[in-house]
Amino acid sequence: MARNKLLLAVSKKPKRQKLRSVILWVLYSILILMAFVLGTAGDYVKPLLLLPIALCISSVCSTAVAGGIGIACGLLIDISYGTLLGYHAIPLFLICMGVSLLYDRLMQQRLLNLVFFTLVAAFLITGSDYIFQYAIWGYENVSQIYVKNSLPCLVYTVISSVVYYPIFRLMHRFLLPPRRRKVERTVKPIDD
Amino acid sequence: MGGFFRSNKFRIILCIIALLIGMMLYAVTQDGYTLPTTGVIGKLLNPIRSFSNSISTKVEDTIHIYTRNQQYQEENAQLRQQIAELENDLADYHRTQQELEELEAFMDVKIDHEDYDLSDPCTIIGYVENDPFHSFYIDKGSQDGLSVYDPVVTSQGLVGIISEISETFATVKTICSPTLSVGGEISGSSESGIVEGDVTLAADYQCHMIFLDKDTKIKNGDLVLTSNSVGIFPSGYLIGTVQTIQPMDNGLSYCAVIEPAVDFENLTTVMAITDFAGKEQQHGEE
Repeated sequence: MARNKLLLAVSKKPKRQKLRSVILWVLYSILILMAFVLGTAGDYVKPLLLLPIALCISSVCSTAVAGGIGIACGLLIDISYGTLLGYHAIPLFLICMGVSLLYDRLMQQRLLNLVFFTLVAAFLITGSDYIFQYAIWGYENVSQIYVKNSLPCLVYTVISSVVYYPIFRLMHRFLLPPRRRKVERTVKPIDD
Repeated sequence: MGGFFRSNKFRIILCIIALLIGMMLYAVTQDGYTLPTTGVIGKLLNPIRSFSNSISTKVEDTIHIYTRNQQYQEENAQLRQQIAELENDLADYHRTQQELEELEAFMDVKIDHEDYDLSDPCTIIGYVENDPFHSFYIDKGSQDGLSVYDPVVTSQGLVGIISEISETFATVKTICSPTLSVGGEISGSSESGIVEGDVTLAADYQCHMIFLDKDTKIKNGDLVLTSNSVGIFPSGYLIGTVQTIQPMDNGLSYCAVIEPAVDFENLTTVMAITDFAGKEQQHGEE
């Protein structure tokens, strides 16, 4: 009887984890899709919503998965920006893998960390966009594009990371596998 | 009992009854007109009657509020649903009316330019993210007969050009973009120049016409039309109106700031000119 109960408990556990994982990835997909749709809606300067999403996901998954997320979000940014496919996907692939490695070995799940990573990533992406899309062609008054488009986009993206952080924190608290959560609880910073 | 029938009370009652019967008979002979006494009484009692009636109605309504609560709620819900349906119908009507007006305007383009092969109206499905030159996506692609470098127009004027295309959608680059150069000429004059976008002007949905002669006679309000100098755009299509004229940085020529005829901020539907007289020939020459 006891053996049966143990077997039942063992067989139930992965099933529940699987369900949580499915729910988590469905929520990720919905957020990514919403960010993509919002990106092409309206003719005004918008934040790169897919960037903090990719970084939030990368912060809790393995390097390989983070790379995949980076490519997926990067390709979506390519579509919404009308750029060559891979133009954003390649840098975002590298950024997400780097972020995943850093979170795995060095960093804590903190708002400031995410804001910092978003700032760096947004600076790199908006900067490369500005250089390769506009500055390189030598348009007159091209610096205005950086001031009126790239810089506001960078600021909005950093602000959006502050909004996304609690959403992902909440999702991860309830839907991440218990082992991962336990590790996160155990590895607390010294000032805690 | 016998005493009552012989009493004065009984006689008075009889008299009153007789009087009333007499009045009735008299009233019958009046063909619907009230008796003068009734009129006077009615006149006196009317305010009271009206007052009592209003009280009665209010009391009745108050009672109904409690007794017919359920009925009112159902009726209210039903009416709300009816209002929602009517509002939806109204929205549909406005949308249809707008589409009809747009189609009528596009029909005018077709009538005015018989040599144009126009695509079906294309709806704007999104904008290129953070593009300072307002490029956008339309819901028609190569399977709808569109191809790269097809001019994109509205009934108001030139919008831009198809810069990238897939089977089901296309990217349109507007005349606000500095990468798009259109040969332009001033209506009613032989002056011509190159119309292209500018970083500073693009924020206000404007573009400029460059390489105008130093002794140009262009003035504010002049109409700028396409000149078909490169064979991509049909000639004589409206681009916009001249706003200001200023010397170019090199000091050798002038440029004119142009307010496009198209209202880019409220653009919802466009059309592509898939073919026009002279297009293939000039492409062939290139």
